[in-house]
Amino acid sequence: MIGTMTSDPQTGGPARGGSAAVPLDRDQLLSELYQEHYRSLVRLAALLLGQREAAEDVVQEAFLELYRNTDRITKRSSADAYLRSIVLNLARSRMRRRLVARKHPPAPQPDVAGADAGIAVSEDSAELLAAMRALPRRQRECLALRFYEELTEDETGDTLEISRSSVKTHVRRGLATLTEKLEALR
Amino acid sequence: MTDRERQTEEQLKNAIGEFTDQVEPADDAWAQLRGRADNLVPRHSRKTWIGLALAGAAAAIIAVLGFAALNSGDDDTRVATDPGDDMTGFVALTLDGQLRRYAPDGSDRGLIAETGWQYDEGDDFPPPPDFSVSSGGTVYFARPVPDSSCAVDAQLGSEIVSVPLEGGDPEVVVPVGTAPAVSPDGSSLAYLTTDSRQQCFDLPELTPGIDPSEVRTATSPVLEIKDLDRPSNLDSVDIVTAGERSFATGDPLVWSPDGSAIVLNAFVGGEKITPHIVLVDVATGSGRDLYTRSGLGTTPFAFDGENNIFVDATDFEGSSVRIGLIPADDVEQAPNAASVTVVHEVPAAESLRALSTLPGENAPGLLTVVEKNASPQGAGPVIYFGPGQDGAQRTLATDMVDAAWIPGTTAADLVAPTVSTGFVGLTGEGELRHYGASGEDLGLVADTGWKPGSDFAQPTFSVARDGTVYFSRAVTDLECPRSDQFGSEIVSVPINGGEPDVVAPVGSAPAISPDGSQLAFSMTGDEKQCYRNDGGDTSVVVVRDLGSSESRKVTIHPDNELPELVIPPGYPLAWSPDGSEIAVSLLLGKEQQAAVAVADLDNFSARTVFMFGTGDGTPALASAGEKQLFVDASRGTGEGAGWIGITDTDVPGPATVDTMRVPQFIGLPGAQRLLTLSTLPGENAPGLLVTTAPVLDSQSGTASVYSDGQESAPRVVAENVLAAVWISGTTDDVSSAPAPWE
Repeated sequence: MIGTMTSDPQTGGPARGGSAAVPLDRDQLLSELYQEHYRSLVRLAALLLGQREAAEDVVQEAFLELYRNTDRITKRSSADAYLRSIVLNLARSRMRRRLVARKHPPAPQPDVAGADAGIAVSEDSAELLAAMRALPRRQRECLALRFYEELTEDETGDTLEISRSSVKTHVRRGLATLTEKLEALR
Repeated sequence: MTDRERQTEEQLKNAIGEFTDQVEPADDAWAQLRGRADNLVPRHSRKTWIGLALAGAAAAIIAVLGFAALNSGDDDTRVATDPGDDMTGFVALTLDGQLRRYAPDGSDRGLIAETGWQYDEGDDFPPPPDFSVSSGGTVYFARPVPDSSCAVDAQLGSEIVSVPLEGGDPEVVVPVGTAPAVSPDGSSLAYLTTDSRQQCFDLPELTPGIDPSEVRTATSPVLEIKDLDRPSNLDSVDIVTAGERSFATGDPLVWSPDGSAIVLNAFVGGEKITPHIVLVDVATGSGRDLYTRSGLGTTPFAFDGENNIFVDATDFEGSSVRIGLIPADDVEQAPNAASVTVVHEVPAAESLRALSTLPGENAPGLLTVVEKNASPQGAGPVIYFGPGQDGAQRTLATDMVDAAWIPGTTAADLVAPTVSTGFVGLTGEGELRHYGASGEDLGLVADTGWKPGSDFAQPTFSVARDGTVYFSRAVTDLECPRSDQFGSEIVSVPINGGEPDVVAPVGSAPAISPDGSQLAFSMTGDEKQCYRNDGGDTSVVVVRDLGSSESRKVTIHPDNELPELVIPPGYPLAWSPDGSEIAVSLLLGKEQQAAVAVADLDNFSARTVFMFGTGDGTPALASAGEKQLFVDASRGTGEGAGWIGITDTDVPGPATVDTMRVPQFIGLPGAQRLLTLSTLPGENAPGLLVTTAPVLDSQSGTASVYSDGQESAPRVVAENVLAAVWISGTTDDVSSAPAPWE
């Protein structure tokens, strides 16, 4: 599924489709998956978190998690999907921690959406992305997977372990909410 | 989709592109990652879950490289237990947060561990820790981690530790986890952990009908299964997800008997969140709804040996706890509390806290903890329901928060308590119930089928030291010559209930001998099966040896004459403390004067020792020691009418109320009449157990204890009791034990 990311400039390594049947070497797998997916996963996490550093941390944690569980990965494709769902999970809990912290002032967090110094987007885009991050979890994840990862509805559903029709619903609701927000801004 | 939404979609895609194009990994990202993977330290860290995970990865690498010695499992946290040890009974959590071990009869076997949790009045936080007992004798429990720096008050750090049943220092098994459940074969531990590997759990404060997005922003626990057969520092954890379900923190997990599935409380998404019990297939991780119930909080559940599932079917409108059973065949239908078959009900209870069963054919029934209306919030009795849907119930412990069987327990461990104390009482509903010495209701013994006002005689009963209850009950399917006649048989039943066995097809007023070896009862003289309430037939006393089943008939010939006499059904018998004599209350002569005769079992002679004053009702009678009897010395029906007297039996000629030679009377308070009297032989006898009733009321009675048998203030131990008999094993100083309300 992540194989659709051919536009990634770092993906031009040697062909490695035939390693599926044999037990995967842990270090080789880490290296391959890093080359193939690290950058795009950091971008996905950043999209959800609005912050590059936190995104990178999340993706590294996800890789270590997978590294630990290599024994159970028998197919490359399942490693891809596994990795992506860990990133989503970890991003989710980062976000949650931030929400909790916001509710409880003793731990002030400066990193509200879009505050990352290194990422400068137009005001309209910043507002839209902030609104997306404020959507309910499933909606923002569906939007990210559909419009950034460009996954199909089925692939999105598989990643999130929800049905295809749920994906449809979440995307539609998310877009409806964003449309309202945009109109309110105008 | 509207045009505007399509426009939004385009804008969003552009914004995403604009944003993500600027995100580049750090230059040294690979070096960082490689370094983090290489620098994993193979040791236990209880600080964070990541610590364990990383340690596991490092150890796995070392094993791959050939250092197999590290593989040998010295880090296994399970504790082997001597197989000869008695693995029976149950484990329960007290209000003080102690996990204690109890024998099958409820006797305390000592502290296992302090959980660190404590009941705090008026505050549900933190929730009581869950625990699970393995067949190997290891107790796994969750305990709060006080030093975890949780951001919010409503969050809780929790770790899972293990400790042997014998007690000891708990060892950390899972640094971030709650709701441990050992698989039936003991090989795996299932638990909930946080999906973020952060240490803090959110409180299970989810309420039905809230907006799903609110739930999604709360911590959603992850179900993990850890392989206990492999060293804990190796990769041995499976993560199970079940689609769009949020598992509820702090609720119990239960394995199916075959270990293929885990059942747990979950919140199923949709427009509104509703609590469900879901079954998660361990192999596939797929989840399936089993049962739903309205209302708040945990829904306890448990499998029986045949894959049927006990569930909480309590109706929040009602004032009783109800336990339902979902047949194994029906689990596809996901029934709800209203449609499930109720198999057990506990009146005057508020909510069900825990259910525990053992798998297998010998499963000894259902262990429950219910919260009684009047108890401290969150605690209640541990109630045992015998196997089967009609199994009798018995209270094994009080004021517990949670309880679970120890997996070695079998039905044989629970047939009857080895030593019983307290008394058995007959309620106004005709139930024989077991009461503790202070009057606490310990459960149903048997339903006699009699009710006040029935045509046939009130049941009489006697309780042996081993907990066997002998009682008389009417045989109503006999063809008797007169409509006011009926049959009476004597049956026995364990004090914890069950199906009664017939001991004597014709008989009444059973009385077990002080040494428990013989059973005396009265019978119609010519072995006619039909009794009349007023007697009407010459009667005999039968003494049966319970070992050899041989019976001897003792024909009562008071004073060596043969006046007309009858022993009406239900007229009590009383053994002398040395077992050499039996006192019998009877009706004497044409006038049917109520009297007491004493039969000497050595020479079968009998003599009249006491003539009752009124002859009203069924005269009460009990041994007061060697050659002394407590008798009903009531003299009328007015205020202060009820009296208990003591009469000597070794003086010639019958005493009467007026001429009693030992003027020791106990006046009953108010206009009370005496119903029954019960004493125990021996110096440690806990006093005189008396039931009384208002003179004009035949349907309500009160059981009281007179501590020393002398004139003293009675201590009421039970209401709504028409007859009460000590269990003959009761010898301690129970009479001085404070009543529950004192």
